[in-house]
Amino acid sequence: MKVLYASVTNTSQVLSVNVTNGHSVSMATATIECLSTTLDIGDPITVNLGYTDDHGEIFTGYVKVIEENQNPTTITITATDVLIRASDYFIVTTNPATPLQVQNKSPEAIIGQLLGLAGITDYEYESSSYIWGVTGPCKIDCISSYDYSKMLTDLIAWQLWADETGTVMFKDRRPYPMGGDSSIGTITTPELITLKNWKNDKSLRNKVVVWGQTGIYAEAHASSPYLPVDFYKTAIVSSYVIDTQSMAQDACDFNLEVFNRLARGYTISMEGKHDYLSRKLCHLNYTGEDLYIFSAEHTWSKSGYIVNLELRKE
Amino acid sequence: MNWQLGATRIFVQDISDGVKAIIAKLQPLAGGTVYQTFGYETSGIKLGGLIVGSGDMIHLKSLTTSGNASFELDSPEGDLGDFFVESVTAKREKTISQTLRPDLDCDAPVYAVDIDLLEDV
Repeated sequence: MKVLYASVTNTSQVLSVNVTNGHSVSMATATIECLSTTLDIGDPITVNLGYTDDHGEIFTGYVKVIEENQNPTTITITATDVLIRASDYFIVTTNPATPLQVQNKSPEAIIGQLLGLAGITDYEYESSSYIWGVTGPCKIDCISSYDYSKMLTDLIAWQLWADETGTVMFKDRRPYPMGGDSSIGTITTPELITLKNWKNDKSLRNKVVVWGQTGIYAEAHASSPYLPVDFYKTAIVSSYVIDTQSMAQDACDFNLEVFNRLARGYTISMEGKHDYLSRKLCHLNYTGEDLYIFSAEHTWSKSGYIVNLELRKE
Repeated sequence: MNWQLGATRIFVQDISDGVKAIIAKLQPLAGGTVYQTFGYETSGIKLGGLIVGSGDMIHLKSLTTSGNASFELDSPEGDLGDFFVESVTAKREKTISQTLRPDLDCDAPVYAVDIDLLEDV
């Protein structure tokens, strides 16, 4: 018998917890229903979930909404992970003639600078080997710190996210298992409650067009065994940040590699485990495969602790 | 001393109580049921008995509309604690002449009641 455990910052008598995050979701969200809290809007919050003898932190963020419900009298707290600070930080120059400018900087350095504007200093990144603002400065104005950072991230098909401890990550994280990934654990068959095997072409794109500054454009395409000959599903990437032909071509090639594939995977429901979070790799005993956790939803209540996962193998 | 709930006299004929653990049951694809304990429900008491007279009946029913107030339950053995009245189910008995309450008219109505109480902790 496992005894359920939940600890939420400055909150007691927790009735239910729901934490969701995913590869295609900009930020993780936590919803806590409780009877008592001293939290206020903007307060930092962490959620630690599991069982009395096995629990861990699954969310770090800031309180965005507090609702006091009547009949029955409960409090519902909604929080978003630390990237909400970057989303809420809107970069606007007082003098439109002198916007924030960056030149000859790597995307990881620019993103670090923009996160710093929003007060986010807990930041880890991989070196992208790219330099933006080569032919002239990139002007950053009237856009949120998050939106600009996300745009730079999407150009090279990387990922920007905040992990469960509140550290912002900028990495080459594909939505499927990659070389060098290590599994965080094995999902055994007795832990599985439901399992669905699926594949679809929803995100398949076998042609990518990139538009940059005036005169800069590129295209990459490839055949797909799931589409008719010479039939292309096209994605477009457009940004004035792209100021050289080679950058435009690289953006095409990287995005084509990510998108020209079927999505294959499993949707499972399993007994709750706190360390099964999105963007990690796990081993599914049922199929004998290592799978990427594309999305994760942790639900904790008197109905039990259950984790719903979308697992991708490609 | 008679049984009383919030000063309403009850002729108790049976009493039962119980506690309950809140246990979630998850059924995996293979293997036995997985149990997860959420906590426990505070003990409750079920009383069955008789109420004599419309006045006591009305008063007993009003205990369910008292907001967040709880009421003392007294028994011949003493004070059993404070309880919230969760439900009162009453059925009028076929009687010609009651003798349980000599202070009331002999044709006072008699009700068989079932009362669910939740302990105030």
